[in-house]
Amino acid sequence: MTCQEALRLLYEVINKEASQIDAKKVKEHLHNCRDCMQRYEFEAMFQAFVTEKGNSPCKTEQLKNRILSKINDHETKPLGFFTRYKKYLFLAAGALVVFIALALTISQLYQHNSFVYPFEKSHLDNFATAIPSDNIENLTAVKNYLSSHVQIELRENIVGFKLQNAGFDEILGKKYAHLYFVKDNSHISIFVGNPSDTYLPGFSKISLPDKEIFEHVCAQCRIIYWKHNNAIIIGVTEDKNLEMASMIPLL
Amino acid sequence: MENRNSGNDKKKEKFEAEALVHLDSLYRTALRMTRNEGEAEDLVQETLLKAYRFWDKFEEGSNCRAWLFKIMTNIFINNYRAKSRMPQVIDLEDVDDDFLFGQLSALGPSDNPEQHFFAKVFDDDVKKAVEELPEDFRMVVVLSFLEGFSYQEIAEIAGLQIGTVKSRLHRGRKLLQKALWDYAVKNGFIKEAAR
Ligand SMILES: [Zn+2]
Repeated sequence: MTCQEALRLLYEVINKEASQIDAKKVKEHLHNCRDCMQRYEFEAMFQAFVTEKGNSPCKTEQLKNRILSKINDHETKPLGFFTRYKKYLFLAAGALVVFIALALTISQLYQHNSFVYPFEKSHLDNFATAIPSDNIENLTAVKNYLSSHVQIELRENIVGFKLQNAGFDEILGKKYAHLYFVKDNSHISIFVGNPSDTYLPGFSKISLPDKEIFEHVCAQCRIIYWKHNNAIIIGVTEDKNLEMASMIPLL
Repeated sequence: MENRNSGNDKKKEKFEAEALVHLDSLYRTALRMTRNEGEAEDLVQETLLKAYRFWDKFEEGSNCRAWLFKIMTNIFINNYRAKSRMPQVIDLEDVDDDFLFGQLSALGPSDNPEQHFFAKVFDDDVKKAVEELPEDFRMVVVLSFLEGFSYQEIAEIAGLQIGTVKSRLHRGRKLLQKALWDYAVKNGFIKEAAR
């Protein structure tokens, strides 16, 4: 083993992450090479030093009590309320179910089928044909576009969602970067484009502490969009139960 | 009524014994990530309350600490990270892998500069240097250096590929060494040698 190879594996050996074979080879090298041994000893010392200095004890007694009392609140209050008003709650829930069913039927009559957003369609088409992205040139082009357009760093894993495909789509004659994320049975398409090119009527506004997001539920999908720097970011998913928050940490 | 209460008591006992024991380590990490005591407390509280709500989803026998850190990391990424994230451009081209070792070795063998350096740098300097790392690097550095998670565990906690964990750790370590060296020089513990 050369010095270069030994040094490359140095931290994996220190962190006990190297395979047994690698660790053995590195250690053999260290015993025969004074320079590498000195470096190894120093880096191991640095590791221990940061671990020790960064981990001084902290006072968490108050926080613990606060959390425990919140847990107690959580358990006692809803229970008391629930047992006292059980009957009415069931009645109210029943009425709510009927109301929602009616509302859904009516809204379907009026809203769905009338217009399928091209973003929705593109997402669903892509869903049917999605293949793992191994086109690095394409990925680089998308990354460049994102960093110049919205100043975001494309991450290949977002709260468990994995980037499966990235490319460009033309929607109503305009160019959008299309990122396709997958997790278990959920799929998310993220489109990034120019706000001035994008016309999205019929959305309702949701204000989050640091962002304004617009949402629309269509026939098969839920679409949200928000603006960031010079771009519009559009998220599309067919999983209507997906937590909104999990779709936005792209930024 | 009584049955339900005793069931809850059992759940609470188990939660205290298996999850709440990690409070210190969660808080420490939250503090390094948010750099603010109030936010760190809120983040830890949110994490543990969420864990309690989903306690029946936690698989007994699996790694509770890693599970809690995963919940916390998700909440942090979604709600706490710097509001307007600019691209993190870090120029490390001119920092060698053996930067700190090289600087200290250049000071000469006689006065044992490594020992001197490690003895002089304070806890607070290390914490500050960690807190000043760019967020992506800070996360893996904290999880590895301070919390001792394995590369694989970090990959799962932070939702990263294992290769990304390794490269961020590598760069984070370089940045940390550079920052600590700068502190030592600035505070006069060490006189910079011409290299
Ligand atoms: Zn060597």
